[in-house]
Amino acid sequence: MNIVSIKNLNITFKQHGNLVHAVRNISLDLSEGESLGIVGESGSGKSVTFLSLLGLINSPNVIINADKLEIGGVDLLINKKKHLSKVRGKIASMVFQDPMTSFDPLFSIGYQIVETILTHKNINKKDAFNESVNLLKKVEIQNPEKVINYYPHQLSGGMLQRAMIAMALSCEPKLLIADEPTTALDVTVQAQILQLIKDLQIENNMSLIMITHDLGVIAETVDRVIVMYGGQIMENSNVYEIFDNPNHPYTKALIDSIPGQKPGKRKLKEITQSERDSWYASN
Amino acid sequence: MKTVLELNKITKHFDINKGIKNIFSNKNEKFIAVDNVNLKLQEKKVLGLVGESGSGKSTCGLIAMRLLKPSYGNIILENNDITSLKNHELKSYRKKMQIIFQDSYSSLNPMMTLAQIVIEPFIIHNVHNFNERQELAKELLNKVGLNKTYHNRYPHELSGGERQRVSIARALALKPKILIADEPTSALDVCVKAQVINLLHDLQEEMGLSILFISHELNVLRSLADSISVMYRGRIVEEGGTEIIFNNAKHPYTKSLLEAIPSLNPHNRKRREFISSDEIEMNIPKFSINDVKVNNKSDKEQQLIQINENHYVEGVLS
Repeated sequence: MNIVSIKNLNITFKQHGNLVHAVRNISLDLSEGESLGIVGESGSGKSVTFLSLLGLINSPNVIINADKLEIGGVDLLINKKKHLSKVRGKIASMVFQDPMTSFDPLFSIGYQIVETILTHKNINKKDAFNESVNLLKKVEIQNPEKVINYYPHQLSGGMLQRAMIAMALSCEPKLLIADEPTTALDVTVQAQILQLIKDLQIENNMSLIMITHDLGVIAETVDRVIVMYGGQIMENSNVYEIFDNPNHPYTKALIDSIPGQKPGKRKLKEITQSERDSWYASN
Repeated sequence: MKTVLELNKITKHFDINKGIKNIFSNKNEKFIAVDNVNLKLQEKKVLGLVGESGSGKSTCGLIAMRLLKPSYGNIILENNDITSLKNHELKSYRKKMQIIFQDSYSSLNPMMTLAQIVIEPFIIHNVHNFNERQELAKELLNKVGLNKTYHNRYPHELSGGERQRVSIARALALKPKILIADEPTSALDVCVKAQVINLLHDLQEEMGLSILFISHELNVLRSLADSISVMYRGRIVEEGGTEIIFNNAKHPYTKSLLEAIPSLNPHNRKRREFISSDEIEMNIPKFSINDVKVNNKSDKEQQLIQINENHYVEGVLS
C-alpha cells in the first residue's frame, strides 16, 4: 500500500502580483517501510512539497493544485482541515532543520512532548510523562529523567535534535519526514543522528522521507532518491543508480560539487547559468 | 618560508560564575576555552583549523583578530607583537588582517546598501577620495561575482551565498594579507558552497592571501587547505599537511572526525562506532623514542610530538 501518493502537484505563490511556481507537476508514490531521499539546492521546492502535504503552508497567497494528494489513505483534497488532525502525528510527523527555533523556549522539553502525546492519545498525564521518558531513552539521551525537565536553551543542538525526533515519534507515525535534520549540526553529531534515524525507521517499520541538499546524507540513509530542480523532478531512481550512473547532468553536477572527494587543493565543479537554463528548457 | 601570523601559547579563560547569584561568593571558576595553542600561518598558504562545536576554534580566530583578548600568550603579526596594543594603535594592523564570519546575515548592516557596506572600510581608515571609493567598491563587487545591478541592493534582498560574497568583498577592501574565515561555508548549500570555495581559491592565488580557514567540515578543507590543525577541547591534538591528516591520522579524535564524513558510495554503508570523549582521552597515542624523527625542545613544550616531517601529534613518549 502507498503511504504517500501525489499526482500532478502544483504549488504557486502570489507575490507582489506575480506568480511564483515553486512546485510544478510533481508526482510521486511512497510505499510503506520505504525510505525516500529528496535532494536539491535551496529553492528547488523540496521542502514546500512536503510542508503542503501536512498542511503547514496555508496562507491566502498560496495556491495548491493536484489531481491526487493522499497520505495514509486520507485524501487531503476534500475537506482538508478536518483530515489534517488525523494525519499529523499519527500518520506522519516531521523533524525540522533548526532544533533551536523549533521548540518553544518558555516550556521544558518534557512539557512539550507530553503536550503532543496528550493531544493525540487518550491517556492521563502521568502515563504521558513516563512515555516521554521512554521516548527520550529511545533516542539515546543519557539521563532522560533529568533531561526531560530541561529547557531548550540548556541542551546542545544534537541533544535538541534527538528530543525533536522523540517528539516526532511520540504517536508512532507511519511516516517520518525529516527536513534537513542535520544541516545545523557538526559532522560527528550528524553521523550519530543519521544512524539513529535509520535505526528507528527499521525498528518502528516506518517510511522515511529525508529532505536534504547533501548527497552524503542521501548515500548514507535512503533506498530511493528524487532529485529536484526548479520545482520539478529531474531524476527518480534507486540510490545505487544515482551514484553509480547518474542520468541527469544536474545530478552529476551535484555529486561533482561536493568538496574533498579527491586529494589535493583543487577547484570544484560549479554549475553555470547556461547549464541551468538548458535543464530548465529540457523539462 | 615566512610566518605572517603566529599565535604563541595562547590560553583563554572565561569566567563561568558571573551573575547576580554569585555576586557574594568568592568562587572563581573558569572555563578554559583555548589551552596553550600554538598556530603558525605561513605566507600565501591556507591553514585549516578543524574541530567540533565548542572546541575553541572560533575563539582562536577571534583572538587572532584581537576581537578577544587572550588570557595568556602572544599574537605576533609579521614580527610585531599586537597582544597588548590599545585600540587606536591596533587600527593600522587591522588593515593587514580581516575576518569573514559564519552568519553573513547578522554580520552585514541591514540599513546599508552593498556599495556602502564595501565602502565603509575605506571611510573608517580614511583612504581614497569619494570617486575612487565608488570605483573600488564596484571593482570589488565585480571580483566576487556581483555585477552592477547589485550595488544599490540591501542585504535582505540577497541569497545566503550572495551575502557571503559581500562579506568577502568587504574583507578584501583594504587589500589585507591575512584573511580569517570563520566557517564561511557552513550555512550554505552544496552548489553555493562550491562557488564560495572556488572564489576563495581564486582570490587566494590572485592576491597572495594567507588564509586561516576555520571549519568543522574536513572535506571542505581537503579542497582548500595546505595544512590542517585539529582542535579538541581547546587544545591542538594533531597538525600536518592536508593529505597526511587524511591518509595517516594518528590521534583518535582526528580519526573519529574522518570516520564521520559521509561516504558518497551507498555500497559502502556501514554502522559507525562512535567514540566517547573518555575513550579519546584514554587512547592518546603512545610513541617510542625511535618513532620520533626530530625532537627539539620547543615541540616538547607544546606537547606535540613530531613523528614525521610536517606531522605533529599529541601523544605520550615512552
